[in-house]
Amino acid sequence: MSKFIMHRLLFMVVTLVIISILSFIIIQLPPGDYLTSYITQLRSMGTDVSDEQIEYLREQYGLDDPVYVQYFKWIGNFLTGDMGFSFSWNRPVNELVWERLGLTLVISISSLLFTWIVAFPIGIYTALRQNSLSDYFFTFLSFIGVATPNFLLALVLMYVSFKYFGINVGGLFSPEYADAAWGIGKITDLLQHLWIPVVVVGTAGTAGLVRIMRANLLDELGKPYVTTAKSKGIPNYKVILKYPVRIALNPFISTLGWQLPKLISGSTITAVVLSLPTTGPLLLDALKSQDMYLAGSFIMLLSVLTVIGTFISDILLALVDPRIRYV
Amino acid sequence: MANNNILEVENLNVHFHTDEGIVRALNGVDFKVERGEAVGIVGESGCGKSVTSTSVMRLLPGVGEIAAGTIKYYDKNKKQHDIINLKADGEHMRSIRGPEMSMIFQEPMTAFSPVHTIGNQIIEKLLYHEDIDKDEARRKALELLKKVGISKPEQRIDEYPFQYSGGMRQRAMIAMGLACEPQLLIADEPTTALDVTIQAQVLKLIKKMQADYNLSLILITHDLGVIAHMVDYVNVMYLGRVVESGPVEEIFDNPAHPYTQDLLKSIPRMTGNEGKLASIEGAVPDAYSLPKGCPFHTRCRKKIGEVCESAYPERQEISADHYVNCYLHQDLGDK
Repeated sequence: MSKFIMHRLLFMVVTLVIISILSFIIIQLPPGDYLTSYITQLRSMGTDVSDEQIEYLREQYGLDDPVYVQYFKWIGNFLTGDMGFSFSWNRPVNELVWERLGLTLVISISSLLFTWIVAFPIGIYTALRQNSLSDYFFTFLSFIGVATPNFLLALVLMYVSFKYFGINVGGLFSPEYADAAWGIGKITDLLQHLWIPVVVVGTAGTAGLVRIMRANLLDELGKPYVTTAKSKGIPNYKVILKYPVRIALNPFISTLGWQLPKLISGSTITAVVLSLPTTGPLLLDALKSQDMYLAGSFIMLLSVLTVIGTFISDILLALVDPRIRYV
Repeated sequence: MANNNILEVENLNVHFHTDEGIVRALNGVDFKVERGEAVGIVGESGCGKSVTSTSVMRLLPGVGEIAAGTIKYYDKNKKQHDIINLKADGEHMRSIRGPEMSMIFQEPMTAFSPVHTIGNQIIEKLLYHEDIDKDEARRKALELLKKVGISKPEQRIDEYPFQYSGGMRQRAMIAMGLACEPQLLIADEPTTALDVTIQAQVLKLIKKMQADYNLSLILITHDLGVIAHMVDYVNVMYLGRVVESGPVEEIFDNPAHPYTQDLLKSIPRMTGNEGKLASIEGAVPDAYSLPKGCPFHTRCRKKIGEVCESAYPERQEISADHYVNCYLHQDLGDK
């Protein structure tokens, strides 16, 4: 097992190095350098930029160094937490990202939990009652769930809650709490707003997961080991939870790590529609405005999370399936 | 003492409800097992051997339905249990599965859960039925593994099925079957998935366990060689019916049903100079539309004529405990 982990770690480092080079290339892709576009932008707004100022900035970002030196400067800074400067926000990138990360994680993790808590029992239930009325009902419901675009659901929910409950659900806080310090009131306010993004983000995922769980479990229910377990005289529900459900869950447990990058980049459109202060819209803006340090940092960050997520998945898979652990 | 039977199956009819229609898997199966006796059920693929055994255990899949018949089981205290009328997953039936009857399956690889240790799967059964703690259950499981000839059981008990060889898996399966000391062991093609040398070892083990635990045994197989070595009494099945039954020597020396005769002829022999191996002509008829009359008439070399297509022949006792359902052995004077 430790050899397995070491092996994966080694690959992980190699992959990350390659990704960092790619991210750096992306930052460099737009014609000219970002300073040129920054200065153009400043000039177009009527701000006067002196030559000394330009020289100072070129010096600071090492723009006159050879490309590889620039790369090492960038990645070195990245590793120490300095992700560069966002020209469109006029603030350091890491400040921007960290500021939004907390709430992004709150939304993503709550919707993931919502998805699992709702989807697994329904998936198991519909598999056990295959082709019954309740199975058809949930199947119908989950097809609608899969087919409804998230942003549409977001709009509908916003409309309904505004029209009938008088709550303005855009954002995560009511105006009076937005800048308030954390306290019971603010948390209650957050929870009142949180359910809509969680339901919106969670619905499609839940619906898809119900289908997958149902199919996985149906595959397992007919396996001989289920009959063997029943032949031991153990109650049905124990047999089903211990054997086929356990095995049908394997793919979910082992792909848990893949959720990691989604925690940051997922549900961007929903976040835009609901005007949530999360990282998704930030990434979108960065790409639109060619804010390359911000965009590059995001790409790097997402890649790191993807690689770490895959690493976690590998380990989880080995943990849940002994056949992989012992190879 | 009137009744020394442990199991009596009468007129068992099992239907499978599939999308294509109803499959009549069993059409009136009769057989019995005496206490301590080894009974064989033999027949081609699809004749209903396994359906018979899963019906006795009440482990039929959801689409299977016991349409008619009775299954009577007599437990350790000779108390009669009416298996058909019990709820398949109910407490009563589950108290029989395990401590009273248990089953060994054909494919030991898929019959064990791949993600639980062998020990876990055996201990689970012991813990459920017996009033013992985990340590005691583990000790018992170790004892069972040792008993079925698994070396280093202390190490093997914590291993997973894929770490066992095929023969060892079947030994572990037997150990699991013997946990809770059942009275009746049903072995469904226990050696089919194993290679020949391992087959012999596993059969020897089953026989030894039968003697050691004083088990009644139902052995299901398509292999007449296995039947000859292992059982006292044989039931030959064809298309969901027992067509001939008798003591093992009787069946091998005086087979009465043309189907049994053909089956025996199709065993390869080292001696003899036929050159070509005999086989039964034709294929097993479609189970969705069974032939009228005797189901074997479509392939029978000794078909008498229309009478074979008219109705299913009655059971005849042609010698002590030797029964056959065939018009060849009936007085057809009045027909």
